[in-house]
Amino acid sequence: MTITLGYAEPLDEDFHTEPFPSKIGGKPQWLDPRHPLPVDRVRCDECSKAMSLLMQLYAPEDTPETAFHRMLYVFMCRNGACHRGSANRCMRVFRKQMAEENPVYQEERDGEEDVVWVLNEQVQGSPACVVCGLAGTKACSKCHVRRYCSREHQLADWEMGHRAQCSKGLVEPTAAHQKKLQRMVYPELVIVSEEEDEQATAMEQSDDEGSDDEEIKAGDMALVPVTNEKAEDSQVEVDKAFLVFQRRIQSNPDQVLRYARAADSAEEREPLFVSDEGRPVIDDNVPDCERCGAKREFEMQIMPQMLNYLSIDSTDPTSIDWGTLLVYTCANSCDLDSDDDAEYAREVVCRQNFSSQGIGEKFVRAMHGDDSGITRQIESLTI
Amino acid sequence: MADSAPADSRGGRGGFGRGRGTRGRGGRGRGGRGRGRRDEGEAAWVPVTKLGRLVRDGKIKSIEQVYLFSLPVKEYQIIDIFLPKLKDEVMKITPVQKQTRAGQRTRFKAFVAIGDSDGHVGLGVKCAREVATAIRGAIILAKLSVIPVRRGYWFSKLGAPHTVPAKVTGKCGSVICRLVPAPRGTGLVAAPTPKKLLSLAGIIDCYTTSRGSTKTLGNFVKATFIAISNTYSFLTPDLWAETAFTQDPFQEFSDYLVKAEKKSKF
Repeated sequence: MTITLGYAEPLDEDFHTEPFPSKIGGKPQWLDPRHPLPVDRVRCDECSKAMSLLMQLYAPEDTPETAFHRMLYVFMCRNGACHRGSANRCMRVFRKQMAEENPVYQEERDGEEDVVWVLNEQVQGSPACVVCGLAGTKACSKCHVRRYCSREHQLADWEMGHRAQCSKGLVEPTAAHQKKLQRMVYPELVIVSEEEDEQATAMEQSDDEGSDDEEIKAGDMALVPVTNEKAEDSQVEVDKAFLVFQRRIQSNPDQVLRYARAADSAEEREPLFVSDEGRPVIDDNVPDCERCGAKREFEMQIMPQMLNYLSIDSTDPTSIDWGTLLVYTCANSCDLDSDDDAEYAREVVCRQNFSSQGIGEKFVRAMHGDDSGITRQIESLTI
Repeated sequence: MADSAPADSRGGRGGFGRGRGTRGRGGRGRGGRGRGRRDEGEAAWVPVTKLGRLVRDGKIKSIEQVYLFSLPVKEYQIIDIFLPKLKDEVMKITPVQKQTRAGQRTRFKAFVAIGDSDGHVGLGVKCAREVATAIRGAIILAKLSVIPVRRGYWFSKLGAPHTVPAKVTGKCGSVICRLVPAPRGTGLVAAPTPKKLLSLAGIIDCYTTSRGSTKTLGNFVKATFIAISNTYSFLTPDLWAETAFTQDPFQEFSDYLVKAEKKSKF
């Protein structure tokens, strides 16, 4: 098996019946509906607001048995300015897993072999915030029906339309109210999977650069070399790691996710970096699992193409941007605290940005001191 | 469709994670959409960088804004959108060999110059095992290195600019290439190699002088390219006036700008 790629697709009718969805945006669908995440674990370290669900992924494991059902939740702060610092401050990754035998899901046989998991009807889901889907511990003081995770969301819901409805005793939001609520979370899309083709991975070996230093030039075969001149290093100043990245995604340009843990060989499980700098090293940047002490392993990476689906306003200079987000999780998928079913394990996410090399670089020199008049010159270009 | 999905141990349902086995667990395969795409030739461009997204949405009007604010361009499709009339020209393909224990390994080095004959020119060099791959790679690198060319007049400012604005020179290795303004109607007085590059840049009349081992095409063409790019680093008298800087589309240094404003109010 090679790397599994994820693609974003619009929702369809079957989606709501799926017990373990993998999706982008929307409100999180909890693996254990009795225990949603409390909002205090999902606050941005920079601005202290609650984060929104970026994506959730159903990634089951065979070992250990407690990881029979396993879901990863990735939360991200919507405020772009918070993303200047380290990724772990404005993003969170949580892992939740459940054994095969559990009080929440029941097996149902659908046809001869297909096993379908169905939510046990007796299981009462714990209330969730109507705005963001996290644990709804607070409620509207008037009607006591609409639940919220925090004061900010209660105020937001009030302004968006509950104020008009609450006094009349109505609880269901109007269509306009629904639309405004939808803007508080990221647009909801399904993540479908497909394996990467073999040829995409094989294409890389064919065109490596190598060093030209010891090469025998065609002209040197003459008895008397006409000239000793060596051609100057004629490479263009473009980020080589980025070109490799671009070539690799070319056959599947709309991929949004790369899941590597299921790949066979160790080299395939290496992340696809977007630049030479800022590569996280497992021992330095990625701490070991706090519960069991095992090393964290690279599991999956989120590609920048996902930003196209998040309705982000790119003209905003502080908008969210990343080169790739690398998610590292406990290699053992260690047991969460079994006494307290509510435990979610926090995992590590690293961000790599694109390098700033590219066509504008020559002119950066001019802007930062070595100004031989170049910026003034370009002003005269007809824009 | 003749080709079917590869044999899947997941029971044909797709999904992520290593959990497999007889208890089929969730996950959705790609379905019919994948097949539709395989029929097309090249898939549509999905931008990866922020600049790419802005360009695809049409928020950046011209390539001059990219130059002016030195925004790093990493995707060659951006250049394609701004300059659709780029023409490429393969200058040379040389075989280069590397001695290995098992004989010689030959690869091909392609030099490609690209330009729209109206003020933009780029140069790309790529080495690969096959000629076609090298040419394709070199074209992409050439697009990523496109620079603006400043043209000027020899004497009278009638009509459109036709020559280099001043004597400029470029050096690479031992090759020095010098471009000198020429009167209208002179044409390009140059060796075939820089002549191609200058015509792609949109320079109509020019005298050239070169020195050094111009036989090495790599150095010669790069020296000419550097000379052409120097046309915009030359401070001519008509640009002595002060210019007010406009704000860049990204305002990357917005904090700095806010502070600077506060300082001036003081």
